[in-house]
Amino acid sequence: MIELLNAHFVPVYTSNEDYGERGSAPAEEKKALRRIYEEALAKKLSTGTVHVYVLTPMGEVIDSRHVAKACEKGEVERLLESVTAKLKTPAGQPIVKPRPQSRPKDAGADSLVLHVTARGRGCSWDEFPSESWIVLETSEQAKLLPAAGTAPGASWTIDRSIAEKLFTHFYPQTENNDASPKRIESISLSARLLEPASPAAPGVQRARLEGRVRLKHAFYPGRDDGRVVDATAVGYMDLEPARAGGGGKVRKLRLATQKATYGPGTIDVAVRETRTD
Amino acid sequence: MLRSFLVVLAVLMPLSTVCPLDRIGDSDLAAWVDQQVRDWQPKPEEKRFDEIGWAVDIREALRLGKEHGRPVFLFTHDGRMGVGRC
Repeated sequence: MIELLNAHFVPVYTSNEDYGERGSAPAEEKKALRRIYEEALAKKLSTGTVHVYVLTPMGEVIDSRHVAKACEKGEVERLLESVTAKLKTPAGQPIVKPRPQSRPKDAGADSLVLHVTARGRGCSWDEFPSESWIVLETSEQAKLLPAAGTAPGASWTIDRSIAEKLFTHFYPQTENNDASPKRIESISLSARLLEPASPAAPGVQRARLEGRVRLKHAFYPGRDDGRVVDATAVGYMDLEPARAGGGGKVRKLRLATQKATYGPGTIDVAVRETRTD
Repeated sequence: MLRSFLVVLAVLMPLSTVCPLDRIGDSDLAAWVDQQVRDWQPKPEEKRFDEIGWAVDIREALRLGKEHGRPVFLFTHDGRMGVGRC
């Protein structure tokens, strides 16, 4: 299917969150989707919100499939092959160069960009992990750091707003993608400066991180099914401590769940920095 | 008696050194965390979606389709397919 799409089609996907009435997609985009939907309807083709539509090079709807039908083995391949045969579309290179679809939002050079992977085990679809991106600006990184002059062995509590930014993405694949920190029932994240036994670089210190979160997260949006994520996590961060006249910096931050449950199953969540300098 | 105790100890010792549910010592922390982070990253076979050359939006897909004589494949969905949140 990948080869067929790349060789004969211009593939595109849209999120209904963006294209709905209150969505962030431009009005012209919403209009374009509406036109496709209505044209399919007028041609008595199948229509829906989770749906495959195929259009001719001139933009006319030529075929469609409901997602349930499209998920049947070989169905999409047959659809693509029939359209290719009908239109006699020659094979070629992908029109758009493939690139990772999971990307961080734009971040400044001094931002700390964190990638979150969450895997459900027995409480989700499980086949794929879900990903999230967190960007901590310089002022937010400062809230992770110890006070100037903190000695090895000393502990401090991480600012709640930063702990929320990290832990609010601790949930597996679900129909509900509300990642609001308002879901958090309890949370804690603390750090302890370690002895600089093997510093990553001169002037860099390592701190141990330990945290816990409990957050409500319904599997389906708008349905209160009582499901919660209950997770403990440990990790570390390598930091340049704040000094007089200098703000300090986080160079590396990693967290992994030790024990995490969601509904009837468990989840594994990993947080890692995506660039260091 | 002592032998039985040592057998039990021998069985439990390795478990206690790898079991992540107990407290992880400072000296083992980075190695343990790095291992979990590595193990849980998306694997190439889970990222085949990225092998497709997706247009950024509908208007761009239509423009490119017209320009290159290619049909457009559109999938509309709930959630964020690109990050596995759907």
